[in-house]
Amino acid sequence: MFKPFNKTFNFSILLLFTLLPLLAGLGYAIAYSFGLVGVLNKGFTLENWKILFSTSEVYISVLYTSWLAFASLSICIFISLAVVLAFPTKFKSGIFSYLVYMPLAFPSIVAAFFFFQFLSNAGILARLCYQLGIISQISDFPNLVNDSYHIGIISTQTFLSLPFFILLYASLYQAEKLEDYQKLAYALGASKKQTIFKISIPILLKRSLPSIIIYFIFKLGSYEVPLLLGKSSPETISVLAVRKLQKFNLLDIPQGYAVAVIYAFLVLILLFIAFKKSKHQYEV
Amino acid sequence: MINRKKNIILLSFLFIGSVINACKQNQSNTQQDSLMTQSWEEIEQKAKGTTVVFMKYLGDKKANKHIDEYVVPTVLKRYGITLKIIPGQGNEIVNSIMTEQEAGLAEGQTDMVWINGETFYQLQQIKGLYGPFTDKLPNSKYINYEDPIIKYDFQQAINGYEAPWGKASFIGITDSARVKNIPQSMQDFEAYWKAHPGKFTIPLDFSGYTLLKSWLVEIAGGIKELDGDFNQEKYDKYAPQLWDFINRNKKYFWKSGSTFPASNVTVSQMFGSGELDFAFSFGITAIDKGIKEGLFPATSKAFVFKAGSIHNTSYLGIPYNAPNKEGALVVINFLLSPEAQIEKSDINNSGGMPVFDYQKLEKQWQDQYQALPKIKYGMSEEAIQEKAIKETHSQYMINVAADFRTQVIEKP
Repeated sequence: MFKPFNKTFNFSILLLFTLLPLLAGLGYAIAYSFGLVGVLNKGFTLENWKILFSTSEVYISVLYTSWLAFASLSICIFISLAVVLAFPTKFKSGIFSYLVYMPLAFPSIVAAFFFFQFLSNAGILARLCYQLGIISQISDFPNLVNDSYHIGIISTQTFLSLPFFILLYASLYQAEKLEDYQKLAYALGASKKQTIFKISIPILLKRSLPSIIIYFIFKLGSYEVPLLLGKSSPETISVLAVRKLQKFNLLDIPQGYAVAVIYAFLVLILLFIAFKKSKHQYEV
Repeated sequence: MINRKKNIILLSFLFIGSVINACKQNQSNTQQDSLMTQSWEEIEQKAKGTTVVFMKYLGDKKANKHIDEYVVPTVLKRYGITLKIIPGQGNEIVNSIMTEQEAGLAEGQTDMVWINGETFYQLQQIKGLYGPFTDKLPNSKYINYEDPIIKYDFQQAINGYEAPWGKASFIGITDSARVKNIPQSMQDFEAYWKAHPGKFTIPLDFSGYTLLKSWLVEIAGGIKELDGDFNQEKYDKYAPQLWDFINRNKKYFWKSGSTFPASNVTVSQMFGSGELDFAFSFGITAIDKGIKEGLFPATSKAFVFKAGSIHNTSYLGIPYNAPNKEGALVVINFLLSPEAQIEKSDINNSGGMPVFDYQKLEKQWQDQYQALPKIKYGMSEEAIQEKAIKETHSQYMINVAADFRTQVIEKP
């Protein structure tokens, strides 16, 4: 009897706290980028979008941001799968179950500063290598932060994401009863390699796909880590948007909103894919 | 299915609604001139028992201590005003006021702001400041408003829309133990970079862009050439020479010029750790403070670039929609007083140069100012004053910042 009421109520709550602010924000950003709102805007114009797409800056930024998220997530998934498959019960209890949570306690900016201090040319690692005689001068230490290969950013992002994926796979390992499948495979004559690559990894990857996409979106928006550890160019999409929104030229602000709109649509597309995938999963 | 369609229609209406609503925002800029007709006593009386919200940069520990331990208790005791400090600088201040303006808020969250140059230019662009108000301040009698370093903020006449609070001068910092002959001209730097690759970089912030402007002034043959309003022709004539100078030398910069640090804080840290040979500052007391805090080596030394030391003044402004303008006026007046200025100039506090005209001070304040501890490691106020040059127009900074990205950073 109360079902219709509950449905409307649930939808209203969702609308009020999630969709409404999001849509209002997106609407405002779109309006700003087309010159419809904003103190310095003078009415509808396509100029801001034209300027933005007149150079390759924004395309490169989208590709670069996606590449960073992809690289750090791939490494992270690889390590966490290896760890969970090698020690499936280690994270149930004991010291490891606590240690794995540690990086989760680091806010991004703290982790970024830590990695900067640790990996920079005059940082802790460089000094250690110098003291141990591995390098003859501190300046001989290779570029690991603000570097062309983005080692600093990818290491930090991996460090921050690793616990999430280890915990995710450890719990999926239990929930999907992988141990039972493995036993069954062994009984049917499968080798250990076959069991891992044909059963365990495909099941874990398939089940975690929506989480991977959502985490990918989360990584696309990271700001502090690429700002501190990245190069001045290319910039990630959030660094580019903030620079346009907050630097010296107020006339760049509409372009900053346009970048934000591009980012929002990118996220919406990915979310759509993630929900499609998760829906299919549970339909199986 | 019908429900789903309904939801989509509803969401579409909400979306369109939010856009229309945003378009309708009131962008009016209300100025309360009636405030200026009151006597100073009336203003002080109205300010009593109120709270003043002061948005300022909070990145300097000693400056924070000066505010927390001296200014806040003094204004409470003397004027009954509770001074609340909130963090914000430059673009954050502009964004905060702009957002309030776009939202049509008649009363904002901030009563006074600490600003200079760029921020003043931006706030004037959006008519975000209240004023003119400096004539109303009794302590304005100690200020020489005709002094070009006070009268013009980045070549823009302040016209009473901001009150000076501190003077700053752009200096280079180096370690005399590592750098025996300190380079000053662009030619000197070119030779130094070639002999010591990897020891120099330019931060992508206010300090870095000021360095670029110093070189632009040097290329132009002196500040006279770039004095006054922004001149596109002159910029187009001199800027390419600057980018050529940097591009042909950037291979000798930190990380071979493939990247530049986001802020001068990082540059200072790298100077302290020995990774870089040069850092930059706007405060003549920066070296004394850095050495005391253990950040800089004791052999650190200040120097001025060949073009001169770009001088600028930082100011206090009142947002157009400040809810407590009377309170802000009383606090600003106190901060301009010889007493507060001398306290602030102490190198154990904020440091920096006071804004008063020494000749206008009563004897007791002159003596008190002379009794302050002198700078030990940096350059003296007099030595820097001799080489002081005016800031260029804000548009030079905007162009230099944008072009440095396209002409240097994004060029292989």
